[in-house]
Amino acid sequence: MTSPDFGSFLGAFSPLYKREMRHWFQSPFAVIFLCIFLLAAGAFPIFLGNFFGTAQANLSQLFVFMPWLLLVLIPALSMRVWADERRSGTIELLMTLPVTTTQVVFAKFFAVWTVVAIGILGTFPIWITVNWLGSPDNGVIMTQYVAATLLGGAYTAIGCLISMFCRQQTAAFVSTLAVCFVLTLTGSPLIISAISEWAPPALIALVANISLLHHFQLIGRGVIDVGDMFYYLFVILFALALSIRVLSGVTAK
Amino acid sequence: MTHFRYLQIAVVAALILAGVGGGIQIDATEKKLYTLSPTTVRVVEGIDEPLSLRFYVSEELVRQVPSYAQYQQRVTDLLEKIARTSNGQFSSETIIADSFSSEEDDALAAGLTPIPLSPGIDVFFGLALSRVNAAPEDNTASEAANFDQAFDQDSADTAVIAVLNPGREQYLEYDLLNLIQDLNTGERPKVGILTSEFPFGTPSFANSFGQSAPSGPWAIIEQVESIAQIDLVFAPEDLERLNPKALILLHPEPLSPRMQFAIEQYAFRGGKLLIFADPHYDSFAPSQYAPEASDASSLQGLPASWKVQLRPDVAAADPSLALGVSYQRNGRNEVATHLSWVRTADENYPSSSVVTGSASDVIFASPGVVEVLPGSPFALEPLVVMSPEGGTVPLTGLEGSPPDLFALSGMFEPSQEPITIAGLLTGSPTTAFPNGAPPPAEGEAQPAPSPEGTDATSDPEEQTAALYAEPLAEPVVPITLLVVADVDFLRDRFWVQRSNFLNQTQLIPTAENGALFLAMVESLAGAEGLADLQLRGISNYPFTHLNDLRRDAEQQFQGREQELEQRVQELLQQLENRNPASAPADGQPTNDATQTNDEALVAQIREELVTTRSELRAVNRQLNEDVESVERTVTWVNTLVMPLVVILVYIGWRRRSTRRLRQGISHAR
Repeated sequence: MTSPDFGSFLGAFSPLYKREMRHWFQSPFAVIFLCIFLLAAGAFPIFLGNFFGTAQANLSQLFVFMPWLLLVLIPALSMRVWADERRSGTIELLMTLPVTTTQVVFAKFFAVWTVVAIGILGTFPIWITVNWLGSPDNGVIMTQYVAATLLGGAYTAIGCLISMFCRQQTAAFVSTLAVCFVLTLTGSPLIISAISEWAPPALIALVANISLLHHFQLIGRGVIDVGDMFYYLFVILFALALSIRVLSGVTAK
Repeated sequence: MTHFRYLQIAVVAALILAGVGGGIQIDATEKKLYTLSPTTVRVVEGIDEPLSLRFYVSEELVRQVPSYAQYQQRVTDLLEKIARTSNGQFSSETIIADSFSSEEDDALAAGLTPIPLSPGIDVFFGLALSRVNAAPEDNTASEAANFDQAFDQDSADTAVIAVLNPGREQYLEYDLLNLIQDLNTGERPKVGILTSEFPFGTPSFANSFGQSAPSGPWAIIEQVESIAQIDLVFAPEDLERLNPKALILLHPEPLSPRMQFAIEQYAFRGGKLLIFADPHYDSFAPSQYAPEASDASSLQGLPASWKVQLRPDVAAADPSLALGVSYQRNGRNEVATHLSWVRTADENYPSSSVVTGSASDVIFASPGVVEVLPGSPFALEPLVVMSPEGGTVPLTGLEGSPPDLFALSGMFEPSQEPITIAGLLTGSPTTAFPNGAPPPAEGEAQPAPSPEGTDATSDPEEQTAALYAEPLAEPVVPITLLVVADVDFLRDRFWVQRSNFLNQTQLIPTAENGALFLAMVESLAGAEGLADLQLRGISNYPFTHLNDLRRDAEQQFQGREQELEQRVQELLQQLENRNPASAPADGQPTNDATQTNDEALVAQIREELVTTRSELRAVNRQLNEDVESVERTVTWVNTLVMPLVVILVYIGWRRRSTRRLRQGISHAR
């Protein structure tokens, strides 16, 4: 990425990204999202996860719920990414600007991912809390935050892609939720046993490895594996590349 | 090249790296759980003959239970790392052992346990390690159950982990290393145990309550068996014949002078002594097999001239390390602090000695105080000490089952000097037996028949002459003596839980007692160290702050609570005594004045009872007040503060934007 093209990419990307971020915080939508997310992320481990009962200075109670919280809340953000532009017709206007589709798609994705990351990092009081109450393994907690941010990125990229196909926000929300849910659960016994009757072992291994949750759990043990990192990077970039293809098709029509 | 072209390349690159990058890792865990430990590297680099490992996996299992597929990956990764480190001496292969295949027969023959997956379908998920150069007919597999797999120690060319349990992932490296050690260690050091206890378990026997259930070996014994060969010592002659690298005196019953002589001479010849004695052995259970044993042991087995002792009549205690124990009082279950049951931490191990290794989170139950008397030839290096707040409680306060913990708190005496509960003693005493071996006492244990059949003789005089025939007057090198003033810490209930996994017992440590014992045996018997590796598996991160608050509150309010409870009991008693007395006896005239007085008194007692009870409730509330207040604060801070911060920041940002917009408009005008 040291090519001069990267500089030109950033040149238009930065104002686009800022525009998106302004857009998110001009309406109270992102703030409502963050409030609900932070409230749930604080309350779930304490009230549902028996935080004081287990009395262990770690964040496993938070990160057990984290994928499911992200799974429900990210589609609510990503549904607005393209549906709004398509409905109001600003998508064509956007494409008349001297920017590439890649820049537009990246700017929109990174803006949503930033909001999600603010939400995830906003749970830091509980990290401070466990350090106050005991002496946790902070290395493991750090990897759990990394895993959650990467998982959030994958959900966001998939959500942005699906939002491009849907004129209605509700449709985008439900479709993203469904797709992410399946991708999260692919490694679970439910899905594996359903295909294990007929699928060859290689396919079963592939399906088990596709699970977004599986890689989240692997990193969350305290090990950042290059394979797991690039898995999420692949999901994100693949979804973005597809978005760009679709967007080019839409604007070319 | 367009941006999109770059992106396409990046997608392909990410896909490739996701596929081939697996295994390149940053291990962020505090204990480096996913990196080969230095112990493993040392052992694996030292493998002296080629070893081959077969990892039997059934595809049905991996297909139907994804957690096994993930665990298979973890095992394979670790095996690859070990193979890379071993300079070609260790190789591994994964063998698919499906139903009705010849590989399934191999797995069974190797000693793996089939896992019943569904009716009629058994699957395998275990390891068999064998010597490459072993004669095939010599392969004798033995059963292995848990992290201290039991093996045919001397002759086996194959060692197995019959079933790998994904629940023991944190001990995988320890388990694997045990397996390698088992085939790799040419000669394991001999360790003798002289004891009135039953660390190898007891058979079923009849007692006054009926038939007792047989018990298995203590977990520490199962552990030590993988690094040392353990022999029981019954008679003085056994000690001379076995000549172990280390001798463990475990809650020794009173020893005869002849045994003391043998122990002295053994130590003079460079033998290492590990003494676990306990002034109050909480786990003691009387047994017909050891009628002389009691719930107290001392250092009586050592010659008096060594002047080393456990301080008489007291046990160590420490309010800052004390454990909360469940306690039955007035028919209610309560948690109270047992001042003499302590859970130690790093700061209680002042010397960071190799003898204690890295273990520190250890539970001791009413340990004694190790001390050296003036004029002793020994110097004491404290290994485990109480905190500066530590002190002692009298042994009388520990009587009863359970003892009165509230009364015990009142008996605590702080100490000005540090309290040592385990220490290493070195010194060069002269012999306490200048006339040689004392004759055998009447009824003294006879030596176990030796395999060679050379020294068992029925003539007492010949025996006297036979025992250390050339006694030394002083040690050849200074004696090393480890004294731990507690036996309870070696009992399973204080540090390990047993759970059943596919009919195999799994040991799950909850404290580091086992690792401490392993480290002690390893360092004194010169065995290869596994203790540190076992420690890595224990992940316990308690809420220390809440525990401190709870303890402080108990210290502050317990005395008052006890006083009030006593007062309530007294008042109830008075009330009960008053009632029958106030009723006139049959045929007696009623004295109105007395009755009025009694009624007034009863009313007064009742009133005081109500007041005292309400005060007691208030004290009970105060006991939990601090902890509950912290819990409340934590709950509010973690649920409401961040959403409020987000809202406030948003409002502030909107106001600023609006102001700027207005300013912009007014400028434009």
